[in-house]
Amino acid sequence: VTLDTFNRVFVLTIALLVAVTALALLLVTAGLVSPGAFAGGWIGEQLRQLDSLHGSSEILALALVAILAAASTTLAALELIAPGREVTTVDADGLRFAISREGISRVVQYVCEDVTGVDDVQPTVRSSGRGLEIDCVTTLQPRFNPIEVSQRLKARIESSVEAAIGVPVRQVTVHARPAPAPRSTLP
Amino acid sequence: MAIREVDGVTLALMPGIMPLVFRAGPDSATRVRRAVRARLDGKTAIVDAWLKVAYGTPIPELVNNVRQNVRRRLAELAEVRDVRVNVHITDVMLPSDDHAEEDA
Repeated sequence: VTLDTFNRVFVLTIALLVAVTALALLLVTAGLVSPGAFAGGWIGEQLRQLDSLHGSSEILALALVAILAAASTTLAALELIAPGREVTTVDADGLRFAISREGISRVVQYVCEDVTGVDDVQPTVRSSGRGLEIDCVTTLQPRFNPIEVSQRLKARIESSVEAAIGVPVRQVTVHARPAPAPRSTLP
Repeated sequence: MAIREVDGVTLALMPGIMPLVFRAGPDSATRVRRAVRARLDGKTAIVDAWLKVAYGTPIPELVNNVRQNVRRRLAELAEVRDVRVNVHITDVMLPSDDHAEEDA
């Protein structure tokens, strides 16, 4: 899941609120802060009730879990975990056209299905300034020449993906591996 | 409506929280709110659309058709002439997907 700017700020704000609340609970339960000392009057009375949380191991655990959850959410929202899921092109008028890497991978798998000698293809799609770079981990059928199959596969991916997606394919790398040998059924 | 007129296009989910907010109700208005976002920047209308497309139609051609339809409809209905349409393709629907759905 990727987030646009508005949603990212929204998620970060919620995560910050959770983290601050959990941190405050952590300090109170650890006895480092006494909330009742912060204010007088009615507000002070309300805060003094929180002093009873001191030493509560359940609240301490809950606060730690909340801080971890808020930190994970923040990382996800900043897309440190899953950067750039789209390949974006900008035309001369400044209009954006983006396509998900997952969508391109599915097209690659589909066009490779009927290449003779190929059992399975697991593509990884990257984009550079000049086009797509596609790495394919490919399982080949044992009775075919791997070099010939790889060449057919490259040609097929380049022509079909460019025609379907409209983004030039700069490089296709095939990592060929033989199909696993069938298990013997003999006793 | 302008987007749905283009053959081979289905509305998809925009990323983020908003699709979850609008997840209730399968009516068409809800689906549009989950797939299309429009805003005004001065006199320019900026439309972002998240779409799934059918494999087979060249995507650049399809994107151009979507842009032309949205511009035409906005000009007719709201007299907005300056429209920028950004298209996000979230997935490509393959013929094998149809067979899988039929089997299910």
